Order: sequence, then structure tokens, then C-alpha cells
Amino acid sequence: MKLSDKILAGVLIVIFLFIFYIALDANKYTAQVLAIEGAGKVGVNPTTERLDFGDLSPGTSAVRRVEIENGTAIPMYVAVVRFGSINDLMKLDKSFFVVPARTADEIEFTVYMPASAPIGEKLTGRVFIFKIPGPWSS
Amino acid sequence: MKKKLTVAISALGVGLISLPLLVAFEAHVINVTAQIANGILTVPTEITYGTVFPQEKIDKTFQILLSESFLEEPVGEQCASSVESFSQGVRKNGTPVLANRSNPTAALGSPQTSGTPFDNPGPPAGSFVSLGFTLPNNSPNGGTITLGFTNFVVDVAGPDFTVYEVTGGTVYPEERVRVEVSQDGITFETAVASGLRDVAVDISGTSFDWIKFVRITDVSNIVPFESEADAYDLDAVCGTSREHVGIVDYVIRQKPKCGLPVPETSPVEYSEFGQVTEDVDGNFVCVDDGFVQLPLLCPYLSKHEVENPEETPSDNDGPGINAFHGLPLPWTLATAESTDSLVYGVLDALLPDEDDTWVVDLRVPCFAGSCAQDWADFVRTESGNPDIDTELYTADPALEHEIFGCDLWVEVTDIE
Repeated sequence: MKLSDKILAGVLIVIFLFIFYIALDANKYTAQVLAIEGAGKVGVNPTTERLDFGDLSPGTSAVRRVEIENGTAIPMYVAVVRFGSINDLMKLDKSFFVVPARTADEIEFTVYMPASAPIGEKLTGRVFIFKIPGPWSS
Repeated sequence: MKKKLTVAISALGVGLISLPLLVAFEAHVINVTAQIANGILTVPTEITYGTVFPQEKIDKTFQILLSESFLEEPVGEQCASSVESFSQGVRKNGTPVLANRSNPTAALGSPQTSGTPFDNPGPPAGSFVSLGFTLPNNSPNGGTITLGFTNFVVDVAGPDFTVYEVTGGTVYPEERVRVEVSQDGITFETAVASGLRDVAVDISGTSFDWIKFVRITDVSNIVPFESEADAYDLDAVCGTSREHVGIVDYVIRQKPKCGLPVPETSPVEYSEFGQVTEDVDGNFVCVDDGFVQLPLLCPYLSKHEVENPEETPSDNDGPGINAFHGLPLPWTLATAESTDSLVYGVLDALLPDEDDTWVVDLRVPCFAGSCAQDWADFVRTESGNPDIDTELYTADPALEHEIFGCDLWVEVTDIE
């Protein structure tokens, strides 16, 4: 094996491990909300196992927060990626940001149930929060 | 080709070897956590009153309830997971209970018996614990053990948990226990005064709708037992399991409403509404650029819960508040969090108290200089405060015809 091949292999291994680690370390949440009929009705589910926005009648909204704490000496770049049918109704106050070393931050997820919401339908999705260490400046 | 294969295999090997290192790195070095805020949920609710006139009274309602997903949390099964205390008695002949029947942790986990009155073949020694008698006549109580559960044992239709006992053979004197239950491990209530062998317990006869501790005490009649008998042989205690018992505490706060004004409109029109947040000084500010706070409607809204006669108890929600509160301005976070302007409530899936309906009454202010003669009496009556400064609650004439707003935020403060 040539020296260049060895270096290339080493670099690829490092990149693979880095990506593997980031994917493994990501927080993965299920998000859901149920559209209910009526006006001014909100059903709550404040349990912390998932981003459950409860039951919302048209015109109401729900907010859930995820707290991120960086207890390391390395700044973390946080990237929030989301999928699913709930995605169109869900707003984030920020999707890409840096959490400086030894600080905490918060992501706020808001779901607004529009008048055109399909009553009785449960909208679901997945939210991934990736944390990437690096020399980021906030 | 062989070299490339070697490189690929080497890379895979290094990756596999690195896996435990990554786990250690994750566990001990990288200390970054992300978690959903502990039971906090906020729900701003929009209620539209339309065009109103001074001193008009308009009632609107909104309903807060436990969500379908919350109520559908399945009831699982669990067995006692901890020994809180153990006070063992002795055998009928006064000698200590054998060592292999004296380990209280043998009562933890799944039962080795089937729940039938006689267990043949019986489980081996060491898989249960004998409570022992108290001499001379086992009165008032024999040995006792208190066990704890990881999750909540909740009240369901029928038995909520079973105490499993070990008895071999086909004929044996009656081994009986008193079963007491507790939520905190301190205050106990008797669920079964004298249960025979395997005891199915329904906690609905107590004041608890969930428990986390069970105290089991031997109350057998010592007389018919042989001399080497060691009283009730406890195998396990297993019952229902829920991670949450369904009690949700919440408050309703009032915060200013933000809107995106349409340029050059008078009165101001808003193309969309947005959220408000607070700055480090506790002053409310609009989250989105270009949004402004609407003239404040919050002081003129009352909130009272509609009592539901079928709700038990009907008084677990806080007292309501009348209109005309919270001024003088500015309306800050401190105002919104003041007990003068917020109300609180409780939802409990087990009572059941699964929904609360709140009436939000608007008492429309007059504009300074245009108030009716009975304005002051109107404010005093509606506020229930004969000493209120009625002038504080007259609106600025410059705001006539403008859209007023206030967001009601339902914030969950605790969950059990």
C-alpha cells in the first residue's frame, strides 16, 4: 500500500467515525398533534417522552421547548432536522445555531392549528437534533 | 485489489474497535444533553370578541382538557422493586426463621407461584420470604414488610395488584395478612384487613387513586399452625403500572398580543398575529420583526371556571378573577405571573376530571372623557373591589376603534 493510500484510508476512517458519532449522538424525537373539532379547545399532554402538542382545535396553538445544555469545553453547532406531516404546521424559533461551551439554550417548537385543519387526523413527524463539536463562533 | 480489500477491512476493524471508545467518550467526555422541557407546555388560545361597545359584557368560553394521547397511556404491569422496611417475626416455637426464608428481596420481582391457593410443586426456598409470628399469640401483628414500586400502581376496574403467597400441599392453616397502601410511604390506609394467601387488592376502597407503597403484615391465627411454622410466605407483589398518574397542574396567564400592522391603516389592521416573549428585564416584546403589541385587553378579561357537578372534586381548580385587574401599566411578566391576574387549575385522569371549561368575560372599557355616569359603579361592581381606582381602567381616547388584544397562555406547571 502506498503512503498516499494509507493517509487516504486514515482520513476516511476519521470522517466516517465523526459522522457516525454525530448520527449516534443525535436526539431523536417523535412529534405529533391531533386536530379536534370545536373552538377554543386544547388538550394537553405534557409528558416528556415525545414532542406531543396534544389535541388542538382550529385557531389554537401549542408550544413545546427542548433544553440543550453544553457541559463541555467545546462549542456545539446544533442543527435541527424534521420530517413528517406535522412539519407544515410546526415552526421553530431557530434551526441552526451554536451553543457556546458550558452554556445552555432552548429551542421552541410551535404548532398552530389552522382553520383548514383536517379534523380527527393525527399529524406526526420526527425531529432530529444534531450536535456537532467544533471551533464554532456564536 | 487485495490491497484495497485489506484497507477496507482495516478501516472496518478500526471502526469496530473505536465503538467502545466512542461510547466511553459519549458517557464521560461529551456532556451535551438535549431534553424536552420537563412537563412544560404552553398553549396560547385566541378568542375573538368582534366589535364591542363601552360597558358591554361579553362571555366566551374555552376548554382545556387532557389530550387523547395522554389518556391513552397504556396501563402496564409491574412488580414491587424495592424493600422499604422489613421487620421479621419468629417461628411459632420461638426460634428464628430459617436464613433461606429471611431475605426480604426475595419478595421483589415476578412471582414464582401461580396465584392459586396451593402451589404444587412449591417454589424453592430462597425465592420467597417468611414474615414470621410475633409471640406469644401473634397479636396484635406478626412480621411486616413494606415494598415500593417504580411506577404508579393505579386504580382500575377490578383488582389493582396481587399479593402472591407460597403454600405447598393441599391442607394447611390459614395464612393471613393485612395489606396497607400508601402514596408516600408514610401515610398508609388499610386496603385489606385480613386476606387469605394470594390476595387480590382493589385500592378503590381507600382514598387513594394511585399508590407506590404496600405494607404487608401477618395477621394469621397462630393456634392451628405446627411448631416450626413461620407465618405468611411472601413470594411477590405485582399490579398495574403507569409512568404518569394523570394529574396535571396548570395556570392561565395573560400576555400582550402581537400583530403585524398593515402600513398606513387607521384604525390599524393586522395582517397576522404572532407570539410575545419577555426580555431579560421581564418586559414583553414581540418575537418577530415588524410585529407590535396590540392595545392591551388583558385587564378587562375575567376568568371563572364553569363548575361541573359531575366532577369530583369540583373545587380542585383555583378561584377565578374578575375583570379590571393588573393596572397600572406596564403589563410585564411580573404582572402576568401575579396571583392577581392568573388562575390555576388541575386536571386528573383518575378522578376523572379530564377537562375544565373557563368562561372568559370581557367587560368593555369606556374611553376617557366619554364615559357614562355609572362607569365607576360598573367597574366597582364588576371587579368586586369597592376601593378600585376606576380612572385607571378608562381607555386612552386615541385608541378608539383600534383592535385590542390579549393572549391567554395555558402553562402546565406540574405533572404527576
